Amino acid sequence: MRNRKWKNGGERINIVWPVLVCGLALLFAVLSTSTILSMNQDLSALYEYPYLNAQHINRAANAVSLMRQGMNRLAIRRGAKDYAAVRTLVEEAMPELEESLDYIAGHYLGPAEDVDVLKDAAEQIVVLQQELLEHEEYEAQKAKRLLEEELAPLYDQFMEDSNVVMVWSTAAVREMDRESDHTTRKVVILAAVMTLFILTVSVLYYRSIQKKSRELEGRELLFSLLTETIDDVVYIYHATRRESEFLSGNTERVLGLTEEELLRDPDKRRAMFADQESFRMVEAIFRGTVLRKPVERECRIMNPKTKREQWMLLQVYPVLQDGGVERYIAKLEDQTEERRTRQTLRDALENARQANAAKRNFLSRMSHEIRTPMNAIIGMTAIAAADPDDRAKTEECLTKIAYSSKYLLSIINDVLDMSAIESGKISITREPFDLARLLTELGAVYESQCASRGVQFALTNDLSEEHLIGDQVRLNQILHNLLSNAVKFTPAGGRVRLEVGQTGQQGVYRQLCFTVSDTGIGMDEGFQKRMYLPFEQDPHAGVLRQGGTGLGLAIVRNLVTLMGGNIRVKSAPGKGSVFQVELPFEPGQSVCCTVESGERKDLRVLVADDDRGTCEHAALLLERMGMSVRWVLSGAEAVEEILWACADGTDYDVCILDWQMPGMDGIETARRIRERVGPDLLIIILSAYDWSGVEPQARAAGVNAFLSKPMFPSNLHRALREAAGHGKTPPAPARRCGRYDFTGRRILLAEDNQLNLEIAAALLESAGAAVDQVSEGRAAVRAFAQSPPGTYDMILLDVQMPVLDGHGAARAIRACPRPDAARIPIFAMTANAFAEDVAAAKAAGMNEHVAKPIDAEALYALLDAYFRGDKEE
Amino acid sequence: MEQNRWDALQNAGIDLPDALRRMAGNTELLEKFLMRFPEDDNFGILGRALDGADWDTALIAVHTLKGISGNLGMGRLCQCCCRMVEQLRAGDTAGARASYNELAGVYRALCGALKGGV
Repeated sequence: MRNRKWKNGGERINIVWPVLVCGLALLFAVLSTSTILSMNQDLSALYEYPYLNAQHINRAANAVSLMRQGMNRLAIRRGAKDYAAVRTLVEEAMPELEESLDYIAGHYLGPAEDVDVLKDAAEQIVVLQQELLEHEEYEAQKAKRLLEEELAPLYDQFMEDSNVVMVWSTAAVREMDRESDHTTRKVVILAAVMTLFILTVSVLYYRSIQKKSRELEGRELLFSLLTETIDDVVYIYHATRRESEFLSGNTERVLGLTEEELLRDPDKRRAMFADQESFRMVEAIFRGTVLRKPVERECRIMNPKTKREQWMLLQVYPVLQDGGVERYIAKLEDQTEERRTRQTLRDALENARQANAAKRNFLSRMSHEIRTPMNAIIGMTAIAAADPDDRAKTEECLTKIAYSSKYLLSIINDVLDMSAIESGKISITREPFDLARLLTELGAVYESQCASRGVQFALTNDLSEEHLIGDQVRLNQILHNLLSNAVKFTPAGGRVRLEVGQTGQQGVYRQLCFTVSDTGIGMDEGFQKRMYLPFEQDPHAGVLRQGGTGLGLAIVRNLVTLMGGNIRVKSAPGKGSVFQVELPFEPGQSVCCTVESGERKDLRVLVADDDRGTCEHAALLLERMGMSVRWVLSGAEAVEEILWACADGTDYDVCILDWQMPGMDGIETARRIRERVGPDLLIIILSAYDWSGVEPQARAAGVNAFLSKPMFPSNLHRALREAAGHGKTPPAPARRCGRYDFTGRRILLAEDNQLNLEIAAALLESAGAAVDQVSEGRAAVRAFAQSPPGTYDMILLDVQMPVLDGHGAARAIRACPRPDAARIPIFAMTANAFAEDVAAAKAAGMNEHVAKPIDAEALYALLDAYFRGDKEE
Repeated sequence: MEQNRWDALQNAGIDLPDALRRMAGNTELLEKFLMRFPEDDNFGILGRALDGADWDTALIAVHTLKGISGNLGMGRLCQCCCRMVEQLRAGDTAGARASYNELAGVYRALCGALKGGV
């Protein structure tokens, strides 16, 4: 690591300051010491010199005084004893005087003459004293004169001189005193200044250190903060000292282990690593093996706090110092997100590739699927054009063309739908529609389709709601797709069934359930997983696949989702499939489900059907309408029950019999019942099949009305009304009428009002035509679909019919996959003669539009024109 | 058909020649269907629908009645029905009720004429 200077804050701490301070302190010490020493010296000097000097001067003076006194004694008496005494005195005093004088001479700091003078004086005194003492004989006068005139002034002189010295010494002491005062003052000032200076410098120094250390703390704090907030765990290990130096504070957040656990709990550490290799490598580094180069490794760890696996990138750098590894710096980076992102990208790429491949496959398959029928159309057109006179061939070609173009259209529609769904352009409408009508149409189409394939078709409906609010077209599309698949994949002898029910309610929405089940070839699990994907077709379906876009289920699924529902499937190879679609719908306005009048209430109804479900359902409906119901499961039981009731007096008012029952069928049952019971009992035949063929027989047997499955309240109402409305009138006898002769022509007539129906039928029959009468649209479609091609020459449909109106019936008829479906003339009978009604009729596939009320002439003329045109072909 | 009957029917508002023409001159058929006319329950349905303010059913019933009456040459009845159909279609329920009153009168007269004198 390079040594970096911190940019902000102080420069490096100057070494000068401490040196300076030390120097000053030293200086101060030296100065103080020297001053003290000098003072001490002075003090000693003071003592030695002036003080002692003074003492000695006193001593000398004393000695001289003493000698003076002694000598003065001699002035008074000069006895030998006195001389001896004075001599002794002088002898005693002399050494003292000499000693003192010597001392003074040696220690006097003043001018030397003073001492000399003193000494001289002393000498003179001594001499004279000697003289006197030695000369005892001197007379009193001489002696007195010596004492008074010579010694006395000498003594005085000596005293004066000694005084001078004394004064000087005293002055000297005073001087010294003053000097020491001075020095003291100087030293004190210096000391103060020095102290102040040292203090200042120390404080500054201290402050500078503080700042540095604060800065350092600040940086450390920053570092800690940094390592805590970043997501990488940093760890510094001192290799030589074998101890941890630093661990970032974010370990708990990143790894789920606290510092304690990480550093001091080896079990937790080992548990952290999900793969042992990483663990071993890490241990190796920090225990023994020496790294010389940085090392990088991905390892998995298990975070004990979040209990999730994390991918970490471990990087270890050795820090070299003097050729040896001093430290390791380890960094753990969480790579989990990156890995995930990488994986997501990889998946997305894969998905894109697959989607691309699927699209490419689709395009190639589509071009084949589209070209095939297109080629057929072109080919057939050419063949037909080549031989226009060959009617049979032309017919065949046209049939095939019709087929192929329908197929082509369905493919194009599917593709467009799929593309619209994928680009989000589809919207779900909310409009009132008639579910009963929808199901009826659907049922009609698929019954005929199934019939032509030898497959059984059943449609049951548990709902009493007929009117709903929702998207009719899409519902139709969904059901069509599922039903067509069911039919496609069910071989002859199988069964296709559509069940409609309600599974729940959420607020105002009814959750309706549509179940399409078949006993076809089924699907294996592998395909079930893929079947909703666009363009997926079951590879096992083999020959039954018959083309198709592979988009049907994808579209269904998308539509179901768009409509807020869900779809489930149960299937197994060879066991058939069950598709269950749940969709929410709002209930619409029911128009006529209410009990109509008082006479309907309390009707006693007997229902006979070999299918228990139908019996229960019918019972439910009837009970809802306010009738009391009983049901039995066979014709024989029905007869029995009716007779019992009769005997009881609790007669039945209405008897609803299923047509196809094992044992005694509906018609036979009706006959037996009618034989025993009068005309007051209404007998209604209930059937999923078209009864128009047996209608005359049934009526002859005593049946009043017909009802088709699935039973809707409206149907039931009408049937009851019908049955109660009129008796059993045989159809009017045919009568020839004028110039028109339609003998040999068979016409299918549908009109819901009985009277109108009879009128129209009578008119046609009187022109020689045979008329098959039906009173509602579905019966018309069924009659047509189940008749061999060419049975009917013309179809007359009243436009205004409940359940399935004329337009709907016309569409269904035109949609039938048989050659005459497109060609047969269909006329609409309606009082509405506005342009749009005519247009609507034309749009539904109708050829002409007959006005009501019916004008026989006009009708005949129209029919004639069509028949004649027919003949001319 | 006897002259009396013819007159009676004619007076009741039935345009017999027109009706006959529609039936391609088949008197028997016409007679038969005229007799069947009172049995048709659309009038009853209409009345009940109006009572229950069930306009949809009323419309269907009166429309059907219009067709039938038109077929049988019952001009006045047909006109009443036409008017009522338009009123119902336009949502004019008050007008429809008023028309119904007239319609009912005509209908009853017709039925009376048809039943009586047989």
